[in-house]
Amino acid sequence: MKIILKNLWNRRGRYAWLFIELIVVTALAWYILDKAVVNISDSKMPVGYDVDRLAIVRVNSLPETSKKYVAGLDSAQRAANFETFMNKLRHYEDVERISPQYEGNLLNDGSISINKYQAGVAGDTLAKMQYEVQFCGGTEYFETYGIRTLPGSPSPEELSAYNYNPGRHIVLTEDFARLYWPGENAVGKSFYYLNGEDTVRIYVAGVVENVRYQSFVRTNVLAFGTWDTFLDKSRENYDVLVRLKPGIDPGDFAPRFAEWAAKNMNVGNLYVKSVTPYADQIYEIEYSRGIPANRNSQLALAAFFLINLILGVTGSFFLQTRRRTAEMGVHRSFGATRSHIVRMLMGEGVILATVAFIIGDFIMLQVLLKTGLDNGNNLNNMFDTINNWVGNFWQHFAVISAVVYACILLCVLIGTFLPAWQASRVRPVDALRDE
Amino acid sequence: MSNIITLKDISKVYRTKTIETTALSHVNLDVAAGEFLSIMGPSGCGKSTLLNIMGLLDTPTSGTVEIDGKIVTGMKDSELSRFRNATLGFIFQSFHLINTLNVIDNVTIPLMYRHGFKGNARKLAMEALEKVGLSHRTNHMPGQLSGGQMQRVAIARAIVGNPQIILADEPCGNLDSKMGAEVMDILHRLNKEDGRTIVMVTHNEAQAEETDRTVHFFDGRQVTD
Repeated sequence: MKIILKNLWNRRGRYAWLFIELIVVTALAWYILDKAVVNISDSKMPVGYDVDRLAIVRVNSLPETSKKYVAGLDSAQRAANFETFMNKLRHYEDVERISPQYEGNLLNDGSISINKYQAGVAGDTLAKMQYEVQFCGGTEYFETYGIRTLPGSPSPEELSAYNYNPGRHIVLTEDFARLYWPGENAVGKSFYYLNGEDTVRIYVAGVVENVRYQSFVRTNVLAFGTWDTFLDKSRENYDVLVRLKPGIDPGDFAPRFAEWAAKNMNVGNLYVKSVTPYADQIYEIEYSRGIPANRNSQLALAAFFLINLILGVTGSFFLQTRRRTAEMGVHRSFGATRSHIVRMLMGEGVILATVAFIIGDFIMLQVLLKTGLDNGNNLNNMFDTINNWVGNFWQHFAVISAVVYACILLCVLIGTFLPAWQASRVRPVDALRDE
Repeated sequence: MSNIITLKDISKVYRTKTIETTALSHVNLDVAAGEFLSIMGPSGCGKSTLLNIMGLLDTPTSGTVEIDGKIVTGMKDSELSRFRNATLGFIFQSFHLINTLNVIDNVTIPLMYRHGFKGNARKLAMEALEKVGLSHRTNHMPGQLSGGQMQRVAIARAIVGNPQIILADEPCGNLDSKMGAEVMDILHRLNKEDGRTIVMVTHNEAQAEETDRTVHFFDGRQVTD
């Protein structure tokens, strides 16, 4: 180590360009890798529900102009048709359970409202704005989605069967509950709608694990509010969430069920409009927003950058080691093995990269303290997001610093290995002829 | 006195696609422990090749090399490196000091690679430099030394690990007569006082006459002993 440090110090003039290059690369790597890592991290965050074995059956009503349209159905008849329809779906051989919801109200593709709340804690005047998704009580919503509850909260089945008073009962996600009642069990606690009457309190019926509203955003903190205590069965448009039995692939289920449904699932004016695996819906939404293309272009840019770094470092080290062949011969003649030579040369690269990284990272810290870090994708930056490392400046800085250092170190190790290996392979007698 | 180096039927042939060059042809040579042997011959006669083979820096095309009772031909590269470090010390005509290291760091190089070494490398290096009269120049860089001083540093480097055998390839070749005499004086002291075996390649008849025995080579063959 001492010899490596002395070599580097005494060769500082020759290594200066490479050193400066590595400092600049550290700074540039920050901008490229920060965005890429945050995006990948956001996309890899669990959505909070089980997408596997989940499908969406869209149920519509026949148009009045259709030959099969049944006119003059009252609400009771429509409700009876709904029950018959859902029973057929529920008892289809591949289906484990279903959760019918109003059209356009499923996670990832539906309506989402914004509400302002204020904690009902004495002396607390801090208002918070949060997103709220809507569901209907009594529809096995939580267990069909596979949303899990926290200890101290009613189970998913109990939450689905809860006697909700719309606008008075709410289910919070973990991070939402922590905002108001950190360290406490939020079940049974209450708060206000900020724009409502102070005497109208909203009670927490349960707390679930964090759920992301959309797959490609880090998502703001959510709450689940109810449209209705019970589903209105007299409507004629529903999105039905279907949990399939174990071993059933939604991709196989969709076309098979669609074909069967076309012949067997016409009840009253209700029919199956489409059957989509949930994962496909997620992908289609991401695709329509250019998410995969954006992600791929970031990864391609990062790969291009790193490949060029490797080539640059390799070239510089090749030039340096070619001039040191005689020196390597001296080391070999006094007992250095090939492994010693490789480790010595690669060790110089590692130390150079590490010192350059420390300087470059310090410079970036000063810049980032003024400009901030990449915040990932959020529905709205004004709202609180799910608590993770991206939102915490020092954690975020540490994570990306580690990624940048790992990438630079890997590039330097790859870039120095070949010249070092070649230098170690030169016979001592040939190396010593090189003056 | 027993032999510390034994070369049996050593040949070295360099082959390219079109040309075959015989550098050494069926050389048999023994060096006794504690002997100061000089090797002489015209340029291209194979004396440096012979020294490189003795010093395990090169491998013979055929024949065996035995050093201190061990047959070293056929050893793996890492074994040769370790053996070289423990048993041999080199002095080159061009000194081959590392320009980016100061005197004392140059001298400690063999100890860096000494297997299992736990001693004080700086202390041993200082002792070696004292033997060659350069203990007052430890922090100097090679570029700040004269040719004679550089060669004395190279000698210190060669002996710091206490090797039994020192191989010197024209150690005075790049020095004037005064400096050459100083270097020869040091080598004789190492041989007589410390009992080290020294094999020296030289063009200088006067220096060769001062040694215990001179071997002559011509066209890759030993012509006298």
